[in-house]
Amino acid sequence: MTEFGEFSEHLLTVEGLKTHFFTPTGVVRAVDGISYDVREGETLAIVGESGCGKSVGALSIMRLVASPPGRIVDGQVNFDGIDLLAISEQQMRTIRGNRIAMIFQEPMTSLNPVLTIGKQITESLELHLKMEGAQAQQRAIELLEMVGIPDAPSRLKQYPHQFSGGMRQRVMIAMAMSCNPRLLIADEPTTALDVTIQAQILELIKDLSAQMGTAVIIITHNLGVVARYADRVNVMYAGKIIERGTALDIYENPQHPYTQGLLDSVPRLDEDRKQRLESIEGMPPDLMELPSGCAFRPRCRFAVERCAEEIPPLMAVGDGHTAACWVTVGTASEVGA
Amino acid sequence: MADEIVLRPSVAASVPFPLRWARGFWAFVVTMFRYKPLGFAGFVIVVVLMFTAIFADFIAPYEYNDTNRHDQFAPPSLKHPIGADHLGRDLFSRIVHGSRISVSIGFGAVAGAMCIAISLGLLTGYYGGWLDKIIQRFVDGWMTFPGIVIALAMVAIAGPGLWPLIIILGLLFGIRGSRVVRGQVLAVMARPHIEVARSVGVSDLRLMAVHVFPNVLPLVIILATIEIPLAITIEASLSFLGFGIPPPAPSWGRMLSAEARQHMLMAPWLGIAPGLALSLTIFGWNMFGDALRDLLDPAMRGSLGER
Repeated sequence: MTEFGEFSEHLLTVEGLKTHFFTPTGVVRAVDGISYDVREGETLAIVGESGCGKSVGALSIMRLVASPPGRIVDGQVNFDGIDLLAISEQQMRTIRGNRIAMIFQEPMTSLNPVLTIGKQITESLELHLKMEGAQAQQRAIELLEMVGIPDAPSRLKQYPHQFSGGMRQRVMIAMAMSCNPRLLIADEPTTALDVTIQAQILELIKDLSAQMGTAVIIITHNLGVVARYADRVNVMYAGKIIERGTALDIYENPQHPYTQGLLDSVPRLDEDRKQRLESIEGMPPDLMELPSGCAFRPRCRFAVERCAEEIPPLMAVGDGHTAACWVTVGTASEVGA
Repeated sequence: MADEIVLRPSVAASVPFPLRWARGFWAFVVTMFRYKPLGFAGFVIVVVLMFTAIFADFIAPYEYNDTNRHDQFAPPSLKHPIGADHLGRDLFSRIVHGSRISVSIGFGAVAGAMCIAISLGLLTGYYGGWLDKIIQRFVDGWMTFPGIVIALAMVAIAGPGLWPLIIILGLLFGIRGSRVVRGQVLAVMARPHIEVARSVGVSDLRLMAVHVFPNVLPLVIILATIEIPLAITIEASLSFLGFGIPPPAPSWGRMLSAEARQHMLMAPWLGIAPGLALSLTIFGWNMFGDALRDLLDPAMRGSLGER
């Protein structure tokens, strides 16, 4: 990978992951060869617009992509020394919810309406930690208190419809954190919530992961979230990572025209109030028929001939900061696709 | 989908959730009485029917096959509350004992049918793929025949009797019901909470039993309440046609055809009594089922109290 001799501190390494959907009308290349790593305890943000493959990439790590039509066609996912794509489904189940947990974006429908909250929280305790009865109940109460739900003992006996959206997302976090996972994947955890609740939920995720030393992959299209919570950022476009760096790199010195466009389209407090917000021209490409060369080329104002001929690999901009653009980064040393 | 649920908490809080009714049976009865008076009437009829079936031996003054030549075609009197038939058998006792047949056919056939429908529906809906294709094409073929034709053909093979009828009707409804259950399983499988359960590491079996099945259960209950009166009707029809339960068993359908048809003008009670029993039973089940459907179906909750 990018840095030599640092494998020991890499909790998760994704190499050349390709997840395609085989539909009657053609192959959708939702994730088309992404490589990245997550270090112990860090927070990695994956940013991109709808349909760029952020969620599919995360689901691929959990091996939860609906099959058919989806299939992981290539790549390696190494988690804590385990090749996640090679182990059996049964072994995978002992990892899901136990060592890798996930939070989804729809708190309103992410809980089973016919089971009590208590039952849903104790489920993973029973499955993975072999806790039973009163012990599991006790732990569930602790978990609810940990995520800031008051009156936990009586809340355990209630059903999801008796909880608000923010409370449900707190329950989801309690479920995800129940087995002390090493890695938490948060797939747009705040998209369906209103702004004040969003902040609370993100703070909660941040505090808990810091307390437990959990690494977090946060998938979002909200650049504000990235700025505040992420250590490092992967920017995705049309199934590929097109820029990677620390949050500071991405904000201070965006290299890829797409990243620049994204940042220009968000209002910033540190800018002149009269500054006009830019928008990115055009539409995201159809993942079934990608343009030749760089997928962003048709929308790019800097596009040159070479962009149509060769797909730009990630090229080093600075220490740990890479971007895939022929124009802005030029033909500097290549660091891998 | 999301806002449908968002908009409902107030209604949801006023109407107890289906599974909680299992605990609070009385709360359920009271809810039914308040919001669905007609359904409550149906519920009462169903309860009376079951009570009659269980305690038939104590309620009926005579055995269903006690013949008495002196009482041939006896009109309703103190001795025979609703008269007697051509063999002098007490009609009231026969109706009371006949409720056992209706109840056993209704519950027996539908219990069997639900077992078949749930297992086939869950399997095909959950796993999909070739299993689904093979089984559901068979179901397609089965559904191209009218139910009564299949039932008649199978009775002709298996012979008449209570058990063959229960098994035949169970198969008939079960295979059709599997399609309905499968549809609901597919709908539930598409919900996000199933993906969440998967992400927690739940096995297929547990996912089916704990996460999918309880969400299909309300539909199964509704299906059962629709099919119980249907099973009773089909039994009566088959018995009327002479393919049902052989004499001297007091099947209401057979009582209508064998005794009543010949002597109806002379002794109208022979037709009125079993006909009324049958109609009331089916009416009761249908009203009860309708009310249950309205109370269990989340989409109908908004209209509670309007009827």
